[in-house]
Amino acid sequence: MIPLEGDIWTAIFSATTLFVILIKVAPILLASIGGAFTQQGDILNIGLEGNMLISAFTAIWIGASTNNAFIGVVAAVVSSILLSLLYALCTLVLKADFIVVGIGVNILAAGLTVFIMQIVYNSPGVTPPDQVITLPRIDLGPIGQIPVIGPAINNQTPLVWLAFLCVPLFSYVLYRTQFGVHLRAVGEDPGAAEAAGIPLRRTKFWSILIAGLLCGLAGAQLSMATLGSFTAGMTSGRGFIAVAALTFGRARPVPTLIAALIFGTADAVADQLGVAGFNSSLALMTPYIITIVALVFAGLDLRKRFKRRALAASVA
Amino acid sequence: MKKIIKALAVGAGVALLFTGCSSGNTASPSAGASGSSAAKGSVVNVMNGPLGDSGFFDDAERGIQKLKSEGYTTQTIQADANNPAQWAANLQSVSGNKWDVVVTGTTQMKEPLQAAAKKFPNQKYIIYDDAVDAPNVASIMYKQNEGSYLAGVLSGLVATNKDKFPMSQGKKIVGLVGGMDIPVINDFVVGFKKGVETVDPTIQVKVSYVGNFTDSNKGYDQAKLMYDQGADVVFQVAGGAGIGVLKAAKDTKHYAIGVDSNQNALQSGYILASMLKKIGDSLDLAVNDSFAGKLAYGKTTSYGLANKGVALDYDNNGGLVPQDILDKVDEYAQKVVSGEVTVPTALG
Repeated sequence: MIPLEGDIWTAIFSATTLFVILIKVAPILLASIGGAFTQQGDILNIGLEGNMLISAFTAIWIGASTNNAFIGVVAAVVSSILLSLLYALCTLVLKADFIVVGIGVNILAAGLTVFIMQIVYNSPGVTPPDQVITLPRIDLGPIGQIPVIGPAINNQTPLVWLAFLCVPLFSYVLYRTQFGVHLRAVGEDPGAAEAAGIPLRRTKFWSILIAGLLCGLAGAQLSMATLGSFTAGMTSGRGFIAVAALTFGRARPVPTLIAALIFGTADAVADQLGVAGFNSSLALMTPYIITIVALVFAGLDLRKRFKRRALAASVA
Repeated sequence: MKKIIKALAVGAGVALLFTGCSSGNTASPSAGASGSSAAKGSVVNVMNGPLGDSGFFDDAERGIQKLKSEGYTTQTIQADANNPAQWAANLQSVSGNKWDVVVTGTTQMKEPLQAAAKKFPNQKYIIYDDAVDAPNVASIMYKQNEGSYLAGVLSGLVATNKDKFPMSQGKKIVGLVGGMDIPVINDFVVGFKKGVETVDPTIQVKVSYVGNFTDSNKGYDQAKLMYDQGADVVFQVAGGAGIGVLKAAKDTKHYAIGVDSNQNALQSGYILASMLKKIGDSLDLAVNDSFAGKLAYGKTTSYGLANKGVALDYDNNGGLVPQDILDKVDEYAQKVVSGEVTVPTALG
């Protein structure tokens, strides 16, 4: 394979890497499930980045000043939901374009976080070293001793577990509840849904708020999991990666999970390659190359399935 | 509300400035005023942001304050960081020989200065951290490669002196996490590599790039990988993303070196030093040179180790570096000053 010194390939597939992958996947997964909710209602929510950013900051700001990680997470979620309310107000009530408002949300969050940091800490770049708060870690005890899997899942934050729990939860809401049925109907054919008496605007409104809630958790995980501090613009495009993941997963629970896993893994692999002295441009490209390859395979598989279905239809 | 206050502050600053100049004119030595109130000269610093960044701008202000204590008439005009029109207006309003020297800095001020320098050909300007090509502008650039060379020397000494640095692993590996694979950052990289190599050519230097200057989580992940693979010291040149590098040093109990401002207290007990561009000191030197007729206008002056434009700052590092190591780093610095060692650069 590619000539690299030492045992880079074994290093990539080690327990520590799995541990890192889970940390990298969690915020992307939470945000992409949130975005998948609105996508099911036919709203492409590109404001995920802004929601994550504002909550990442609020988590540290409130969490550190109260010295309570739980209050920090709650505040993060509240801040993100407030931003989502603004999004819903602009798009659903004032009928502004979803993409434009999404961009607005991102810009607002980027400016607001720096602005508040300047006022509160008199430092626009990073929260001060005495204002640190991290999430507790869950010690699994004997389960943590299982080879490979044990060390990977041991000592993760509760939000990592919650992120993965969101997948079956999303699936349940989407396919087993009235809200989920309404949401899918609204997304597939708003005219028919309205004719059937489904409250169009209210259904979309709730999907936006759920996205806000999940992005709030994503942001809290991002700033409070390892760093315990906030740096300006620290989401660095993760919100857009989440949009890509949910698009790739067609806003469905399991495919979106797989997409998020691919992104997280690719990111971890890119770090390994970069540190091993691999060409930096290629290393940083890795996640995107893997994504394109995965998308091509997904596309091929889809086409095969459509062909089979078309064949079955013609036979019948 | 803050903006209004800021606008008022700037307004007040400008108002003060005008009163300042008029009194400055009457008190100028050329007007033959009494010796006691005579200033050595007048210097105004036009900023493109507010003070209080505990880094770049505050350091420049220290230089201005030093000039003031040396007997110059000084004034600093702060501005809104997001209002280029205001910066240009401030710059033009102080131009036209009301002040002997107008100081400004950063890449963002390059274009406003180009316009002002053309409009006021008799006004003397000094720009720091970028260069403007005009006969009445003296440009100050910093040799980050020489500062990084010292960071490399220090890292090399840490990796080879396990007895003095208890958190060293003895695997002879050091690292650097950069923001982006671009010339300015690679100027740090080549200097750092040269420094490490001078101490011991068998030390391995790992270099990685975050891909931006904001992703502190990715900075953390890359630095942690380096430490896990045996690195003793990681030098961060990644802006905000580097905050993650410093945290990784603390979490894995190893050493790091900061950059741009004194970051030694950010993760107390793990940061050996910070590599700084000495903006304040260089401004003090440049202005004094200017009044002595030694500053080259129309040219770019590089401030490196020889004229103390870059340095390692050990303040507040908790005494992590013992005196004999400090002395050794200074020895290597002297070799660069004397010209015995030439530090390579990644810039043109």
